[in-house]
Amino acid sequence: MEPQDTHDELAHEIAPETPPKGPWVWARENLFSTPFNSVLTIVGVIIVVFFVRGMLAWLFDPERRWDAVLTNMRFYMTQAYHQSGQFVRVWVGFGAVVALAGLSFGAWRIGGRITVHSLTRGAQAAAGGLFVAAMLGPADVDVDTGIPIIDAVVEMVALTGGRLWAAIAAVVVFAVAALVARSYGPRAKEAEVPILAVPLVAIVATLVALWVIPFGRYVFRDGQNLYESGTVSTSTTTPLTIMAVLLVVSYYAGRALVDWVGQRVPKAVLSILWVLALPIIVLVVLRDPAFDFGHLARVDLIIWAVFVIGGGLIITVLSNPNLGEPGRAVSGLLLVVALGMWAVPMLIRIRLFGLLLALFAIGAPTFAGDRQGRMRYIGLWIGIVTVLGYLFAVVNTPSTLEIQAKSFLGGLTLTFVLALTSIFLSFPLGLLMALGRTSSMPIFRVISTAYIELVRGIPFITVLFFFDIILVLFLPEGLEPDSVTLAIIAGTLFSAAYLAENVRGGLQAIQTGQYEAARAMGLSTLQLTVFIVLPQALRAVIPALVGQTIAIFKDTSLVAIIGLFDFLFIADKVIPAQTIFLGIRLENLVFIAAVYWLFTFSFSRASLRIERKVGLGER
Amino acid sequence: MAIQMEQPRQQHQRVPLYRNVTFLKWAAQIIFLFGLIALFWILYTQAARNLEAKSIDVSFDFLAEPPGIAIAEGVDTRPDTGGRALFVGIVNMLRITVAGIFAATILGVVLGVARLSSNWIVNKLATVYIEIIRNVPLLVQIVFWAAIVVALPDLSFETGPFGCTQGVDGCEGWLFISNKGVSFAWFFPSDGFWQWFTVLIIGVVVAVWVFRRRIRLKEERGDETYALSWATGTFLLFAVVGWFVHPIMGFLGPIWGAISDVLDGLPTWMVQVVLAALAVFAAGWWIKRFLDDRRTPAGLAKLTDDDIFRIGSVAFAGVLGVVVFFLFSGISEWILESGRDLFAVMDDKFEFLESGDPLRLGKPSLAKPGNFANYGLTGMTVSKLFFPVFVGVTLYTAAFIAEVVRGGILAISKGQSEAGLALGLRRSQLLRFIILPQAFRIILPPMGNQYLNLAKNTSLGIAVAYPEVVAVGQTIYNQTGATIPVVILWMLFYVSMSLLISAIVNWYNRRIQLVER
Repeated sequence: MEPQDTHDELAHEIAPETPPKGPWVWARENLFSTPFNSVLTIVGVIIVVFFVRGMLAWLFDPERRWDAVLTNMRFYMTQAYHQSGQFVRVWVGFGAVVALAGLSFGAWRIGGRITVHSLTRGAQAAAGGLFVAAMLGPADVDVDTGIPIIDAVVEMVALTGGRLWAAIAAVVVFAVAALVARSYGPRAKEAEVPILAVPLVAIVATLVALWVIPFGRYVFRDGQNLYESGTVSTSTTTPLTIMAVLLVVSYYAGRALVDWVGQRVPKAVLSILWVLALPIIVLVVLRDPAFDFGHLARVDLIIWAVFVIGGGLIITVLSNPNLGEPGRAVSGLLLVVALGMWAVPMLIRIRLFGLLLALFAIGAPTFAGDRQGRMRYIGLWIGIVTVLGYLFAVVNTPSTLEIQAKSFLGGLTLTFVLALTSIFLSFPLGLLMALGRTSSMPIFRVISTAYIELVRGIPFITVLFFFDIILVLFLPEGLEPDSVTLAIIAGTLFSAAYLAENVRGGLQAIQTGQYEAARAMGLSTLQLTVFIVLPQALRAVIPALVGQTIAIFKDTSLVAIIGLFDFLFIADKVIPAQTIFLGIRLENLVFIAAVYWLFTFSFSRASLRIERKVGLGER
Repeated sequence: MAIQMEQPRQQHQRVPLYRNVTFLKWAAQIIFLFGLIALFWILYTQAARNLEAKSIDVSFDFLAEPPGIAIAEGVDTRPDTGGRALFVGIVNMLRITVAGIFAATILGVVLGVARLSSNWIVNKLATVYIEIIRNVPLLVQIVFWAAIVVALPDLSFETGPFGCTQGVDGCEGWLFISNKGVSFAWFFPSDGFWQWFTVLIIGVVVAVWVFRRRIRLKEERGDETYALSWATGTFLLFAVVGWFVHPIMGFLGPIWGAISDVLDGLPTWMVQVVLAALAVFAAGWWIKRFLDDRRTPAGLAKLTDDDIFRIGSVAFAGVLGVVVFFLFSGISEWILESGRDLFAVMDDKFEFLESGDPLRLGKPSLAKPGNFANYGLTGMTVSKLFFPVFVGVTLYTAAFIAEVVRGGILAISKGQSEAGLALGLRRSQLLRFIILPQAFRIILPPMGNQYLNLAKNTSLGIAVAYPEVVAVGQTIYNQTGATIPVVILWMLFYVSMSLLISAIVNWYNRRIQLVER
């Protein structure tokens, strides 16, 4: 540290330091540089004052029924799930996500350091904003001097009640920040604190506030939601505290883990866990399937074992590089057999595994070069069969939940499940179609192009209607997927077309030299695509992929139109129909808009960080 | 070197079929195609069985039958056929699309420029707007605006903001903002409108000619010729003079009538022949252009499999067009009838030589609280159904357009600005003559995409019961059970609209692109 400091001091001595600008200089440069700018500034200030005043007046109007939002919080998050009496499952699922997030933050060492200077500046800016808001908030006093402008100014300055407390808090934060900055003196620009201190302080402060400040609570008694004074009920505060502690503990656990065993293994395991977390939480933790273990052992386990052992052996043999033509003949035969299985009645799982096995056999000589490659290829096969077999077993098992709803998923949970599942499933499909569209094989290209352009030409709502009302007509008798599954299929097929276009952009950005070099090294088309083209193309389209994820997250709100109980539907249709909150719609809509905004905004900010980190856009 | 060159020739043997790349590629494609066809065939037979079992109607008969539905707003609120109802939905959808494109473009460009402003507060305001609007789902916003309209006061004599005064048709006012929507005074086409409109079209043509002439003069002489002011002045002159002399355009009426009569007398087969000839000509023209592109000074380049496939597909499409036009004479009949009706209607509009004012001011007037007078010219009403969808899609698209504009301006290299400033241009001149013309080329394609999104997003109007094409279609199939035909019509409509918009944008884009050497 020492040499660096002297180095910095040296740099300071050499570089002429820009003199600190006072607020007046700043205002003259940024607000009143030209007469036109001055006019714009005045107009802008008027707009800000007008809007902020209007908004605060609306938000804090005593007529607002925010209790419609607060009382229905469980409804918002999980819809009818809390009727099952098993609400703890939601917390367990959420806890798993929180623990995973903490471990990942720790393993990837999220969070750098921030200088005291920018920390105190940020705190002072926030305090300033709070103070302005307190000034512009709705006034309790009503002044009438006959001159409207004087009235408005007096009302603004006369801080009372909640506004006074907000103003005092702003002044205190400002003063504390100023004191801290002064105590560091000129070192404030170099002294650093971990950036994670900020969220940690925020979490602790929120928890203390929840346990101590009497916000009041809502209880459901005698068929009515009743308001009681006092602190927030322990059924809310206890799990939230546990979650916060879990987050912090798992963060340090993640860091310790990486220090102990190195980066590679924990990161790989965590990545796999993230992929597996969604189906496990949704299908096992939330759905609570009643497993019939006899049936599991008789059917599921045997099919699994046959395909793992038999398929593993076949792939082991076929991936032997010395096999030559006979190996290809066997793979071709396997494909014919697998396709023929679709004409014979049997479990759909066996047909699917058969087809997968044939595809794996065909790909074997390409991917299994050395011994390590072979082991990895067989491992991939076993992993896929295990995951798929597990999914089949879980989905086929009836749920034990008893709730009065079409599906055990609802509210924000449903929104997230729809968005994540759609984006996850549409990824391979979009990838294939992007390759098809850029391929030199005309039939593949025409089919991909036609599909992509058709889907991109029609609005999502028509796709949803198509799957919701028409798909059933094309399916055999007795096969009637529920609305959530249909919505997931619709979302997957819809976003696949957009993903394909994004990936195509990345494919086109690859220089011809890459193809030529790969060809010169004797790579086959498959190897060229998997090892050379896709890694580069996908890296180039990360921002577009994140944008697509955000778009899908926002688009899930459309399922409200076909009557799924998602986040929007609850705010727009369900709560305004409750007897005690009849017609309370705006408050609910503002609340869900804020929640949607929070997620999409932080996601897009995170994507900007990733973009900078992988060095995109900088050549 | 020479030895190595020899070797491959010696080793060159006939490649067996199962190792022949060309064969394998085609085999894979054909197998895949057959698999796809088989899948569709299975689905089709299954659907046929299901439809028969459930006795669901899949015919398009509903298009010609009374739909038994009323539409909340539009050119025809009680359509007499299902086709007419869908047409009303399409018109409603286009109303929002066109109005939204205009409003969103203006707002978006202003926001995009504001986002780059050196004025701190303007910059931050634009940023906050964009970050809020584009991160909240559009549907939530539309539902929010609908809830706002519902929360407005009832329509009464006291509804403001300006109140109303007793007039002929009831209590007349300039502006009513109520839970029925926003009503305001507006100019409506009156008796002489179409004659005047013809004069205006002539005015536009002359104004364009004047504009080009002034620009040419400017280029020759080098000094300012005020081309835009001249053109605007010419147009205004035509508008003002036309206001008084428009009855003379009435002579067009008999001409339209004559055209209508001629069309009435044409046999259907003639239209079929013309359409078929057009299809063949279009295909031939495309193939010729395609081959011209591949022609090098050394003669025609070797055509790849892919090129031959493309030529074959286009030729097939041409032949298919001929077959379709001859098999389905209904298409030709429909075109003929529509043309005849169109000219007959135009004949009607131009009938009278003497007439009143082309435009007339209509103020919204209340017959009684809650009801507008339903006779006379009672102002323009942005209904409570139109308002949320229009405001929602406009504000939402404007945020995206602002980002497109910002990106376009930022993409212009800094050297351009510096060179412009070095030439002594002012900031506003720099923006107008250097930056925007170049940025325009960059932002046009993404802008077209945003327009397309706007058009598709109007379909969310169904959530607030705005009767656009999806909502009308849903009402129809709820009534008749014709789900499959309605969905097919939706898709046809939206896909053809997307193709149309992207074709226009592509054509314009090609026209304005710089020719690079």
